[in-house]
Amino acid sequence: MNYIGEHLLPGKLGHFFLLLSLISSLGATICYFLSVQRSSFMVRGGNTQATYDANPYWKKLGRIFFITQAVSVFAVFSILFFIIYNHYFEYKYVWQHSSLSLETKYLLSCFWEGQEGSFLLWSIWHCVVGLFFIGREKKWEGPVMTVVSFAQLLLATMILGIPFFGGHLGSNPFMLLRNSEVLNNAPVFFDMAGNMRQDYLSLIKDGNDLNPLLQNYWMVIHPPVLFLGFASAIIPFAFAVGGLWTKRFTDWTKPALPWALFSAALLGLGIMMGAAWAYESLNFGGYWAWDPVENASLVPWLLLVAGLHTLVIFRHTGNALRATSLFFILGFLLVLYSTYLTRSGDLQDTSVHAFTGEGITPTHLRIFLFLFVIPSLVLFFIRYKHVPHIVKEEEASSREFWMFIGSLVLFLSALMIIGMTSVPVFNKIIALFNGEEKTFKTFAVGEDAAFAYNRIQIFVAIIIGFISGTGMYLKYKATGKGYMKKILIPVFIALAAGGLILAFGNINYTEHGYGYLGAIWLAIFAAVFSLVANGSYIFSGMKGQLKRSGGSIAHVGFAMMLLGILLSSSKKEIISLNTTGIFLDFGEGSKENPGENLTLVKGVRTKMGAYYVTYEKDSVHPQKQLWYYHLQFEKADGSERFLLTPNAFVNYKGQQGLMANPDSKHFLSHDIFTYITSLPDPEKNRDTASFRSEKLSVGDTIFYSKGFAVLENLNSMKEISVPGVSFGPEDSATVAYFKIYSKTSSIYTVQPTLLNIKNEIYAKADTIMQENLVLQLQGVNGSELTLGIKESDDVMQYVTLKAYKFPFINLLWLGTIIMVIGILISMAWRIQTNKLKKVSISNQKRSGQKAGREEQAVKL
Amino acid sequence: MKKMHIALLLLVIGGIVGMSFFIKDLTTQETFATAAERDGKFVVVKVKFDKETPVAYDGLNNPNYTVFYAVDQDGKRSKVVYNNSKPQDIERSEGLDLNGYMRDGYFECTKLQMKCPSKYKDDLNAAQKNLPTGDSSNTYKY
Repeated sequence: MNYIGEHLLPGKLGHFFLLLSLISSLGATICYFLSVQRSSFMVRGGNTQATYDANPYWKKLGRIFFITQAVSVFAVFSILFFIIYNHYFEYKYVWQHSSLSLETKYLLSCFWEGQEGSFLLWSIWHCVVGLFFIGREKKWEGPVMTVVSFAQLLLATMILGIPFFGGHLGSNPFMLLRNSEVLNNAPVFFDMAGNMRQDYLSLIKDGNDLNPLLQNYWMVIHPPVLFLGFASAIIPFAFAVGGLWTKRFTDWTKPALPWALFSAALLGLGIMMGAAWAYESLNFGGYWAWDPVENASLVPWLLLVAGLHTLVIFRHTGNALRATSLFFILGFLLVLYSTYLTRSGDLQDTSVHAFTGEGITPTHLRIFLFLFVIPSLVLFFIRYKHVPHIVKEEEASSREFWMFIGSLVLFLSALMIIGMTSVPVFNKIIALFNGEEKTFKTFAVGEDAAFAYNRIQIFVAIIIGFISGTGMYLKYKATGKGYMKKILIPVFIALAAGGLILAFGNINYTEHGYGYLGAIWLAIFAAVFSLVANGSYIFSGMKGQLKRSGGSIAHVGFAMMLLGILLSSSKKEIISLNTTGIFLDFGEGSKENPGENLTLVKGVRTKMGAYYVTYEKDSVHPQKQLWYYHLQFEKADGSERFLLTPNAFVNYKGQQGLMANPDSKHFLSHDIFTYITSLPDPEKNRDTASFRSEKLSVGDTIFYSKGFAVLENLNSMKEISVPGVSFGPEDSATVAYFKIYSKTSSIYTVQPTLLNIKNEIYAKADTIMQENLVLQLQGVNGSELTLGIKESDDVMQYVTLKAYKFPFINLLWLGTIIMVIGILISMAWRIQTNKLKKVSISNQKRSGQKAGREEQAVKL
Repeated sequence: MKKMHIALLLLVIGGIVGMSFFIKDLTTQETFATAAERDGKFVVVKVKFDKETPVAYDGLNNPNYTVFYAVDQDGKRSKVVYNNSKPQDIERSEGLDLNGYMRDGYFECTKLQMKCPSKYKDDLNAAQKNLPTGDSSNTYKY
């Protein structure tokens, strides 16, 4: 059967390319695997003459398959975007995630709102990273691309959506709306015989729209960056696995370092962009809430950072290779684990923004996870003994010793965070052993979840702050006393600066006791020290050569982030505390302490913290039910004056309630941040207020509390223009013209109207907001009419809001940018020195001279 | 013993101490009935919002006082007092995790976690309601 208006070609093409990507990624995996296995790349017993030559035929074939695969994924990506862009609502994905009123920039957010699109985004980054890898790293192409292709194979199964042993394998983004079950409960789409109507598509006027919370510019840019971070994390993993697999335990470390740095930079940036989104569009009052979804992305980053530090140790001293392999392997496994956590629905009780397991089943995700966890960890433990290591102990004064301790701290911190986040998973596992009697209870995180994390991580911050500050001044192998003296200046500067912050910063966060406050102070010292020490090392240690100082710059950025986090959270203030006394009518059961929400009546200047705030007016978005509330903030002395317009979707898509987006004013030293928590419910008001009825003739006057109204005219007509109403021959309308004279000597005209449509009466009331007055025409009899008059406070407009002051939040954002730039500088430098070494090695071969440059380059 | 081992040991001990604090603070999921037995203890109760009774919230009188009713997993209904503004789309929520204390006759909620209905699966159900039905296509009412 043909349906009117459908565009089926893109879907068919899309499905074809999905299948092609699946098959070609399978081909690429097998061919790349054999290219390594059937070559002298593998170090085998007795094979000491191993070369880097992978089997050329299999390798070539693998490359062809991978490129085919990449082309298919690009095709799928383009087709999916094409159908979203053209609003082809016959596709379920398009209907479910977009709408006609959506701005073009948000069409990309629609793309990755759903499971299928975000997997596709991940997959396309794998392609990009893989193609770059093939172009740049010819030597390690075989082993690394085996792993990447295998990941691509598994990702392809996620978006396949074919029947599979009674269930379905993956979820196809090109599924048609009429084939999904969405329309089944809407009889209007079916004819008498129960078949789908041929013109069903003409009934679908618009899509389901994008979740309003995601209608934010950060949601356009944050997912691609984060997923590039996730996707690139596979490269260090693949290097480590490849090294263990081929028994080339050390060769991979040189090319792996720039890739690991890239991944750490992008993942770090992606996470912080997510934090910026949370800060700007969520209402938990901050950028970080230790939400499982956030934790799940932070933990792989911690491991990547730990891994790249141990990798640097290995490159310089030959220590810590085992730890490096472990950290990189776990880093990517945790990316997969976080995928499982956030997408399987197992977390949805504890997270505000986890996917539910629609389309892609939790089992499928678990299999994906285990297909990576088991082989990589088994390989690691089998090969563990063979991985070269140095028996001799590191000097306590050596740089590598403290770098290693720092990496261990990051690793342990990551383990603790992921352990705490996995409480729902443990509950699930425990529940497997629960019989009918429910022997085991379900656990839940205690009263203050954020504090549970903070009180542990603050010590991590302290240790990392001190180590990252000191580490740069130490030398590899052993540090002489004379060298150590250089650190004294930054120590004194840090003591002075930290002391000043504590003396005048007024940091007295005693909510969790003095012990915790002490830890905060110590952490502030550590962060300031790291900032100063790394900053001055750029000049004292690196002679101001920025391109060589990537590490120090990244540390400076990280220290600034720490400082920003510490200051903004310990000095965060709620300024909307309800202490004005005006509305302090605490009901039963309410605690005595002031609430955190404040109500502003329209036009009434209200004191809030150091400000006076006036709710001036509101405006509506031209296309959406999105309201902006104009709040004028001013300092009592008039020194500051600014407008904030937090907005909210009111009764979004006919559902009750509001979805609010905050607004903030950025100052150099702090942000003022506010959002609407509640609005009067217009429906409720309409129900409770009642009209007083009066009989009137033209020329009569009627009084109300603040003035009087005169009925000037009464007009019956066959037709008036009312939007959405078409008048039939029998229909009519009556309009009453009132003039209102108020005590404030304002004069208003009001036109309540009565419509008679198909023998049904509809009253269209008219309202004067300023007078809290509503007039409604209830009946007309010749020249006499019945008027309903209502005066009510319910017409009064107000907003309830919450407002914060976030000090020094800009330090966090600035620190992030500096850190990412630092890591990227470091990456560029490593790429350069790697090239340098290649050149110098070839020089060495040619001339037989001992080239000093390599040695020099390594030291850098 | 190597220095590294000592450092490792110290870190692991630190980690264990930290985790034990966390585990000590773990609480259990209760029902209204069992929460009442654990008088005055902080608990988490998994409930469904009772759609029959409207939320009592008047932002004008007290913006920090919300009262609603909820039904727990055993089907027991209880009054819930939440000293904050009305959570944004509580009416649409599919499930709630109430954090707080069982008091005499009501549950005092200090923190509230909503299963977000705007997320995909539930969203679809909600979205289905917005599909046109036979009678809604030309309505006007004032």
